[in-house]
Amino acid sequence: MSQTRLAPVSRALVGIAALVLAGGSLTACASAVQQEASGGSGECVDGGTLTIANAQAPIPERVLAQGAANQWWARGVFEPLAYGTAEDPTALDLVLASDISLSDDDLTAVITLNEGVTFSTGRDMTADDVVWTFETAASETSPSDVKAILATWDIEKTGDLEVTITGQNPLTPVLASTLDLTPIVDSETYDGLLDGSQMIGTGPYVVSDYTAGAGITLERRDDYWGEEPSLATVQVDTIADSTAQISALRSGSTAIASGLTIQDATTLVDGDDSFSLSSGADAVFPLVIDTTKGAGADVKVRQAIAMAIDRDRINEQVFSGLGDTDGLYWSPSSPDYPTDQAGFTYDPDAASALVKEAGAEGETVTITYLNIPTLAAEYQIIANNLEAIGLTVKATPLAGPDFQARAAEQAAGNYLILRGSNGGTAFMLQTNADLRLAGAHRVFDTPEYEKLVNAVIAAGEDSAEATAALTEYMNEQAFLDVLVTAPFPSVVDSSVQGIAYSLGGTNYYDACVTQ
Amino acid sequence: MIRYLVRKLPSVVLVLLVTSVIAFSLPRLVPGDPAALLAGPDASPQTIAAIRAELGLDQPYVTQYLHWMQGLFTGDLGTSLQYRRPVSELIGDRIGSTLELAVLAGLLLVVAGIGLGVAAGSSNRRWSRFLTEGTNTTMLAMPPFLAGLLLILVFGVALPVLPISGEVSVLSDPVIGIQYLILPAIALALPMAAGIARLVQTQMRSVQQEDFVDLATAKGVPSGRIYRRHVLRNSLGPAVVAIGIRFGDLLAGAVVIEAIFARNGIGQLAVTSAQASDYAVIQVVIVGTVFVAVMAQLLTEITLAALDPRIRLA
Amino acid sequence: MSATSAPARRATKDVRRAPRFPTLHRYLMVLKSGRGITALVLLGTLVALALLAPALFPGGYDEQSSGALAGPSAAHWLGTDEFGRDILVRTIYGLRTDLTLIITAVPVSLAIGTLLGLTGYLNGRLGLFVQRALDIVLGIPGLLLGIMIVLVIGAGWFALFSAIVIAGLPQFGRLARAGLLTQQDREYAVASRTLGVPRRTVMVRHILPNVVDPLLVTAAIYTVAAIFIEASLSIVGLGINPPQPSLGALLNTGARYVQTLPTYVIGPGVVLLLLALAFTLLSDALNKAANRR
Repeated sequence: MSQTRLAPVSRALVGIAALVLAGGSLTACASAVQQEASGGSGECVDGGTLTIANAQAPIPERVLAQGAANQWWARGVFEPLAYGTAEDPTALDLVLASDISLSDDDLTAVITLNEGVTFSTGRDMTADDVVWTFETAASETSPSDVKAILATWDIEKTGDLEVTITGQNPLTPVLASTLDLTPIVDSETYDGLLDGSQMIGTGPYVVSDYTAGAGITLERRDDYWGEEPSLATVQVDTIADSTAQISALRSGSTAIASGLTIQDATTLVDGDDSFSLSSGADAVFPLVIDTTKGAGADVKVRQAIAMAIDRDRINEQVFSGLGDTDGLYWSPSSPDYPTDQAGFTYDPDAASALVKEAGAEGETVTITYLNIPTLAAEYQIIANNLEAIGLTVKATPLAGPDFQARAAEQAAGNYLILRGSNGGTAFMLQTNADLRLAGAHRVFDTPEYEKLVNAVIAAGEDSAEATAALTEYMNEQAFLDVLVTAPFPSVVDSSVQGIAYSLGGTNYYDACVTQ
Repeated sequence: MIRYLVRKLPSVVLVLLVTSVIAFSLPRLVPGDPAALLAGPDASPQTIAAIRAELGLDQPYVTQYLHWMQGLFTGDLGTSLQYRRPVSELIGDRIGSTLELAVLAGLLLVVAGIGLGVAAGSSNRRWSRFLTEGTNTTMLAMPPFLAGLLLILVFGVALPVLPISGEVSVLSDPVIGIQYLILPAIALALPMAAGIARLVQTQMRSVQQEDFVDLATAKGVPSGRIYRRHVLRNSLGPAVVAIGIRFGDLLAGAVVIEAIFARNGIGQLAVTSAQASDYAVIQVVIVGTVFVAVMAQLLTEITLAALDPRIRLA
Repeated sequence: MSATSAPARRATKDVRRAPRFPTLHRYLMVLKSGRGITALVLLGTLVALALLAPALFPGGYDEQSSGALAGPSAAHWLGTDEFGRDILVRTIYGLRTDLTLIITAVPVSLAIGTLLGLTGYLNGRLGLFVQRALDIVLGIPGLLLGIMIVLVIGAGWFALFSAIVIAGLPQFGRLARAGLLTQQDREYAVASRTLGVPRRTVMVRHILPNVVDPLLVTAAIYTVAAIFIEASLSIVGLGINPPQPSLGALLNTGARYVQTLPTYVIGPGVVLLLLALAFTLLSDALNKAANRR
């Protein structure tokens, strides 16, 4: 049933979407949108306006980070050195870089930049800008998701258009995702990003209008260094309410609705041939268990919880069956993906036996979650499942500032969250807050875990064995239950073609609208 | 009247001062950290602490309060923590939208409320009374968002003649703008209008039983004149009071209505800021709305005095 | 302020055939009006349904299954929700939640609000201060206040309860104060005080009974507002914690399936309307009772 809803091509795009931009010429990657059932695809018009309704307001301050807030505009304005690809998290699609060569020990990368790249102020982009961007992204106040990796890198200017990166761990497994998530910003106007007064990048669009909290409009730039895109205007309106988004889409005042729950999105598409689903990077939805306090302190209870949760039903009823329930944090496109460890056991009887054995019957498990509809829905099934094995379950839904402050302090207890599936195993282990060693949100921490994680990171491209060992240990300790890995589909009108996704957001090199 | 206003001034100032303390402390009582939201879902404690310091949130509350007050008196409302933009700009961008909605809804409220109330209060036939009162009671029991949802269903699916999503400023394009405004304004005004109608009706009935009405009837004054000069005039007082109080409710109702009709107004700003712990914005919104409410109340008292010569402003 | 329902002149009421509980008797009489009866029947039915819910549906409100979002059938009259739970069952349990909430929160709000309004009797300045404080609460838009309260306390039943209690204080406080101000200068109050009757006795015997009428009417009206507060907070996602249903929470989720499964909105919507209607009619009937001379 998922085939009709989410086109095969877009499934391939899930993970890291592809964009190829080599030597200034653009190679189209397949659109995630064109599979509209009704046919009705008209001719692309040159120019035209694409209107998008996004649930979250733009936050220019966070262009160096991933997030739904800037998903629909940031990559139109800011370009990275290279994008990752969907098929392989270690492969690169070059954008601002013309060449990236890695040393034999995989610890050094020499990056050559394209000639003639200019910021929209007219200034030439040089190696200094790249170095400055990476240093800024690694600084303490930066919101960058990859700063843990950047912190281990030594970045040096080795020519006007050449930068050399030296890492402490092998670069290949992490390079593509890290570069993708670090768009090059203009050092002269970077402070303008704080309040959105100046947003200067190298991309094919410039910001023509920005109203804080309400929306942002991009106009095609007339002196773009590469090939001029087809769309003249991209307008992103902030519409938080799902009823209002659906109304906007139905009434034609917007062509893309983004930020609806999967269920809302599939319901909308099921009822109407002129809409289809389209999605970028997948998200992983884990349940992370506090191993220091409460029932979760007992490994038997944790194992029982892992067996008690009906992930297939969560996938069906919360994610409309579009997700995967392989039970693993790792991306299936990662070369070291442990295929034989994929899958999960759903055995409520064995689980309740384990709970009895641990003497934990009737004990209360409090689950904290960010108060958004998808996580609240997940919670309902989990609570139902855990009650069925003899535990008592309580909810603590929290608003963003509260949840994130608690999580960062490792005070969220047992929590439900969602994280981007942003790259290979080594990349996730260094950046993901549920997995990484320093500054983690999870409480679980043992020397054994640390050793196994470091082994994967150090193994470079031959990490299959280390990953399998780590996975086995994680499953045995059961401190982290990956429930579902699912896309975040947007609903797209059939008049829209050629939008492409990367980790940092949507780009419009090949996008157009038909009449 | 001037003397009345001058006499009222100290208490108004006191109210606003206390309000500012409440408005300052209430959002800060909410557990959580706006810096954590800015830092992002994967952030480490170090990043959050650094952003806290940058936002000035690590300073003592008293310092923060005094700084805010100092700004208020010099016309600086502060800077949004979330968007890093002046609060005055965020509000300025949205005040027009909310005012348009509130004004049209307010007009509808007065017209529909008093109209329906007078209709119900003066109808003597059984069936017409039943009809007006039935309508009224149902409207009273209908929450604004349900009314809004119903309007969206009817006009979005069955009868697509009016836009159900988005907005165009009435000032920049009156014809189109008003079309965008009609449905949200109706959804906002109708349930409240029912309350006003109820008041007018009750009041009219009790005024009709007053001695002076009997006297006028006995004197042979035409019934239409009795209605206009005596009954109506004496019945509207409480309605005016209620409308004055209800103006604040209009703003509150705007929160939900703006959300479902995709209007970017103050209500939306208030909700998103509250959920993001954007102290700088919420505190200004709270003080601002209390200020408006206080002003509306003063105006109400003045209007009341104009309607009823027995009331003296003193 | 209390012009809506002028305190009845009970003090001068004839005492020839006074029943044992005059106030109660008067209300019982007027509840026999058309509206009163409709309100009582409606409310009685709803309360009975809510009370009987555990007996009627012993499986509770969280009986999940794989049959999600099924249309109405003989087994599930309103269909099933996104987790395969019976929508009718959840609606009735939701009604139970709403009723519990308003039946506990509104009286508490009424009691605290009245006490705050009557503080002026102890001390004029204190009364004025409380009045101003309540004015401030009244000036903050209701939903924003509700959101802040829920965020401070943490989403859940108690947060909703507190929001309803606090949002109602100004109305009850104002009414009680207005009643106090008119009553305390009346002849009987002045006379009692002159005769040396203790303050407390004057308050309990004379002043309180005279503010009861408008307060009760307002309580009925405020109950409707309380139902709306629950619903509005649920719409912004700050309602009762799942999986417990409430009418507002059901409407909030149901609205998403309005095209595919309209009964999901219609069921809770109709029940919410009926509940609000019952209290609106009740307030009418009470108002008539209060104004009866």
